[in-house]
Amino acid sequence: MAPAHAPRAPHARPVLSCQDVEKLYGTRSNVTRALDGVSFDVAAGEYIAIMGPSGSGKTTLLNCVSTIDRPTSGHIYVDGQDITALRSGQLSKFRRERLGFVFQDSNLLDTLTARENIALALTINHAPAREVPARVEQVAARLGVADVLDKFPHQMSGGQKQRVAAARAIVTNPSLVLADEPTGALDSKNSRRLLESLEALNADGATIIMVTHDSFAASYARRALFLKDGRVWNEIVRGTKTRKAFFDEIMDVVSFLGGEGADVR
Amino acid sequence: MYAKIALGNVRKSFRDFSVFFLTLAFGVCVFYAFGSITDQAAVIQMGEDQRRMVQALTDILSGLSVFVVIILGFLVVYANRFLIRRRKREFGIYLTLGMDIRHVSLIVVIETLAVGVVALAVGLLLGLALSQVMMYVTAGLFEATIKGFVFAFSPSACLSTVACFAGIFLVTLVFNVTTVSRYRLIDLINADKVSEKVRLRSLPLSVVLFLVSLALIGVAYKVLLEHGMMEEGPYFAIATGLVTVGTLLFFFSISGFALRALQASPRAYLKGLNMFVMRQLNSRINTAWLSISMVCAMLFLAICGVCTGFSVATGMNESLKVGTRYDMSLVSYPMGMASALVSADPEEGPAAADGYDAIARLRADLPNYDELFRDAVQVNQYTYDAEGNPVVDTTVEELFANTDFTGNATMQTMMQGNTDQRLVIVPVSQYNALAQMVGEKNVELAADECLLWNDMSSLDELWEAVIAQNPEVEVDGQTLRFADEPLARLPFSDSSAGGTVSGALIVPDDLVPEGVGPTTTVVNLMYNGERSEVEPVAVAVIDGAYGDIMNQGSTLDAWPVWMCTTAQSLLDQASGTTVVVTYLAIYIGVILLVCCATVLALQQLSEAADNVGRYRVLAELGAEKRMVDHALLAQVGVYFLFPLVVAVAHAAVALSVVNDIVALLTGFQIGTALVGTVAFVVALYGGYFLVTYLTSRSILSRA
Repeated sequence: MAPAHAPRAPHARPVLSCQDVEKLYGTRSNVTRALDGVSFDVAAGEYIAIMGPSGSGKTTLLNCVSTIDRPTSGHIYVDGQDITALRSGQLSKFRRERLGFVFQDSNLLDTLTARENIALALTINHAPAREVPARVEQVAARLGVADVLDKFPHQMSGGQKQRVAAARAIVTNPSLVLADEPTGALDSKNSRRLLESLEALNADGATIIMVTHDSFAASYARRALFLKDGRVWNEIVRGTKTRKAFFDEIMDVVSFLGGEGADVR
Repeated sequence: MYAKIALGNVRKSFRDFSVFFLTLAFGVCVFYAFGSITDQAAVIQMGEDQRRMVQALTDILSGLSVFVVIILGFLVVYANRFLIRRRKREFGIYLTLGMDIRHVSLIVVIETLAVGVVALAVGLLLGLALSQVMMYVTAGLFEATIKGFVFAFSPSACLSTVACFAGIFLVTLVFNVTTVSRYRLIDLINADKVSEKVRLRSLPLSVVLFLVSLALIGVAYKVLLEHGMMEEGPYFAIATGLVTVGTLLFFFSISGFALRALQASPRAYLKGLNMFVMRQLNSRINTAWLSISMVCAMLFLAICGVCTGFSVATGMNESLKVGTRYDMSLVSYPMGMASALVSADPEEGPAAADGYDAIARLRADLPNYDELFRDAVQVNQYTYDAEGNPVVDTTVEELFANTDFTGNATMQTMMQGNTDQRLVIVPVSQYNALAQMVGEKNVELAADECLLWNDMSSLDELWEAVIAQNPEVEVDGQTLRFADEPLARLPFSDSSAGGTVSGALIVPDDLVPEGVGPTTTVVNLMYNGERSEVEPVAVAVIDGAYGDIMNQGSTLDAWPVWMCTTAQSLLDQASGTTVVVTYLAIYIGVILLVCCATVLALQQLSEAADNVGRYRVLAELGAEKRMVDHALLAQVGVYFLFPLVVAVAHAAVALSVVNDIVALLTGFQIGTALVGTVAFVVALYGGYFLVTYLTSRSILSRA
C-alpha cells in the first residue's frame, strides 16, 4: 500500500500551498500575531486535520484559506492560483467553484428543504437546471441522507443536518472541502457517522481540511498538523498505522502541547 | 445611572431609533399642520362664504382626527415593537448583570421618553413650517391674499397635538413595560439563536385557496360592475364581503401558490437564488399575510379617497364653467308645484295676472332694472294644455323602457328609478333668444321637427340612443320627428351641478298652447358691467323686492322669483369646496399612504435583521453580491408591489363605479385624476420602497 504522503512528492503540484502566512490583529502599539509564518502544502486527495489549543490560530488559518479573511502577509495558492491577490469580485467566484464548507452548526438555510439546500450550492454555481436533481440525489445517497431530502432542517437530527451540510459542500466537486469543527455539536454516535462519511468522501478523491480540537475526530485524517501560538508546531502522518495507533499518537502530542490533555498527565 | 444608560443607548443605536423617531415626528408634523387650519385661515383675507367653508373643513378635520390618531397610534406602537424586539439580547445582558426587570423597564421608559420628546419638538417645528406653507397654498386656492409676511402659530392645535401624542406615548410606554417585564432571561439570551419557527402549510391547499380567492374576487367585481353602488338590495354589501374574504385568502395563499407554480418548472426554480427567494417569501407570509391585507385595504382607501376627492373638485370646476354662462338665473314655477297642478286653476295666481311675463314684472318691480341688466331672456317649459291634459303623452320612463341601451350600472339604476316625469315643451324662439344672448348659433326647425334639450353631458349618449330608437314623438296630437342634429345643449339656468334640464322638447312656436302658463320658467340675465361690481347690488335689489316670497311659502305665489342663482356666488362656493375636498383628500391619502409604507418598511427592516444569518450562508456558498442584491430586491419588491397591485385593481373597479356617479353629478371623468393620483402614490410609496431596500442592503452587508 502506497504511503499516504506519496502524493506530496515535490513534482506534484499541491492543491493548497500556504507560504509564510502572517496575520496580525490590533494596533501598531499592541499587535497580536494570530498567524506567525505558517507554511504547509496539501496535495490532491489528502485528508488533513489541523489541531491546536484555543487561540493557536486554527480558525484564523481556516478563514484565510477560505478567503473569508485576508492574511497580512504571505501567499496562499489554491490550484496554483494566489488567492491573496484576488479582488473581491473574484472571491465569490473562487469560493463557489473551488471550496466547500462544513460548519459546526451545519448552517443550513432553515427555510429550505435538505434537497433545496444542496441544490442551492449548484444553482449559485450556475449549474444547468436539468443536471441539478440527479446530482443532488447522487450525493445524498453517498452521505446516507436520501431519505430526509424533503425535510426541513428543524425536522432533522443534528447528525443528519451535518451530513446534509457535507453533501452541500461536495456537490459542486470543489478542489478543497473545509470543515470547521464539524463534529463539535454532535453526540459520539453521530460524530462517528459523519467522520466515516468524510473518510468515504476522501477515499473517493475529495481533498479535505478539517479544523478540530477533538483528537478522536482528527484520528480519521491521514495527517495531523498542530498549531501553537500561530506557528506550525508539529506534524504527524498516519501512514499505514491503524486509526487507534494514530489516535494514541495524536493524544501524545496533544498532551505534550499542553492542550486539553495536559491535566491528564 | 439608568438615565445615563438609556441616553447612551439612544445615542449609540441612533440608526435603530431613527425609524421610530421619524414615524413620530412625521405624525406630529402632519397632525399639527392640519389641526391649525382655522388659525391659518384667520390671517387670510377672504369672503364670508369662504370662511364658512373653512369652518366646515375644520369641523370635518376634527372629526377625522380621532381616526387619524388611532392610525398613528397603531403606527407608533408598531415601530416601537420593532425596536424592542431587536434588543432582546441587550436586555438579557442587563438581567444577567443582576439588574432588576423593573430597572430594565425604567431604562426603556427613559429611552422612549427621550426619543418621544425630541420627536415631538422636531415634529412641531416641522409642523409650523408646513402650516406656514399651507397657509399660502390655502390663500392661493381661495384666490385670496395675505398682507405682508405673517407668522401663524396655533396654540390650540399645538396643545391638542401634544395631548394626543402624550396619549400615544402612554400607550407605547405601557406596551413596552408589559412586553419587557414578560420576558424570561433564557429567551432573551437565546434570542439570537432561536430563529422563528417556520410553520408549514400544505402546498396543494394553498393552490386551492388561491384559486378560490381569485374566484371570489372575480365574482365580487362582476356583482359590483353589474349592479353599481346605488341599486337597491344587498349587492353592494355582497360585493364588499366577497372582495374582503377574497383578498384575505389571496394574500394567505399567494406565496404557496407561486412556490408550487415555480416548482413545476425546474428550469426557473433551479436557477440562481430563485428557490431561496420563493422560500423566504413563503416562510414569512405565514405571519405577514394579515398585515399585508391591512396595508392593501389602507392603500385601497387612500387611492379611492384621493382620486374621488380630486375628481369631484375638478369636476365641479369643469361643470361650473358650463353652469355659469349667465350672470344670474331666476327660476319660478308659475303654476305651482307639479303635484298641485291638476287641481289648480290656471287663471289664478300672480303669474297669470302678468300674462306669465316675468321680465315685465321684474322691470316694474325693480327701479334700476335697466341700469343693472343689459340683457335678459325668459324661457318657459310647458307641460299641460288648456284642458289640463299633458301636451306630450309619452313619459320619460316609457321612452327609456322602449330603448335598448347598455349603459353602466349606475345609469341603469337611474333609468329604472325614473318617475313618470313628463316630457315638456319649449318654444324654439325662446331657445334661440338664449343662444343669441350668449353668442351661440341659432337652431332652425321645420314645422314637423323638434329637438331634445339636455344640458347634462353625461346623459348625451343615453338620449342619442333614445332618439335613434324613437325617432318620432307626438306633441298635442301632431307627430314630430327629431331634427338631424337632435340634441340642444345650452344650459337651462345657472347651476353648480351637471345641468338643470334633461328631456325637454324644443318645438315650433305654434305648437305651444295658447293662454296656458308654463310649469317652469327661467329668466337668465346678463349684468351691465363686471360681475364683481354689479352682483352685490343686483342681489340686494332682488332680495329687497322678493325676499319674503323666495324659497318659502307656496311656489304659486313666488312670482317671478322662487330661486335666484348667481354665477359669482356659485364660483365662490366652488373654490371653497375645492379647497375642502382637496385638503381632505390629501390629508387622508397621505396619512394612509405613509402608514402603509412605514408598516411595510419596518417589516422588511426587521426581517433583514433576522435574515443576516441566511444571507451570510449565501455569501459563504459563493453567491455574488449582485445575485444577493437581486434576491433582496425581489423580496422587498414583492412585499411592496403585491398590496399595491391588488389595491389598484380593487380601486380601478370601485372607481369605475364611483366614476359613473361622479360623472352623472359633475360630468367629470375620474380617469383624469387617476393618472395624477397614481403618480403621487408611486412617488411617495416608491420612495419608501427605495429607502427600505437600501437600508436592508446595508444591514445585510454590515453583518
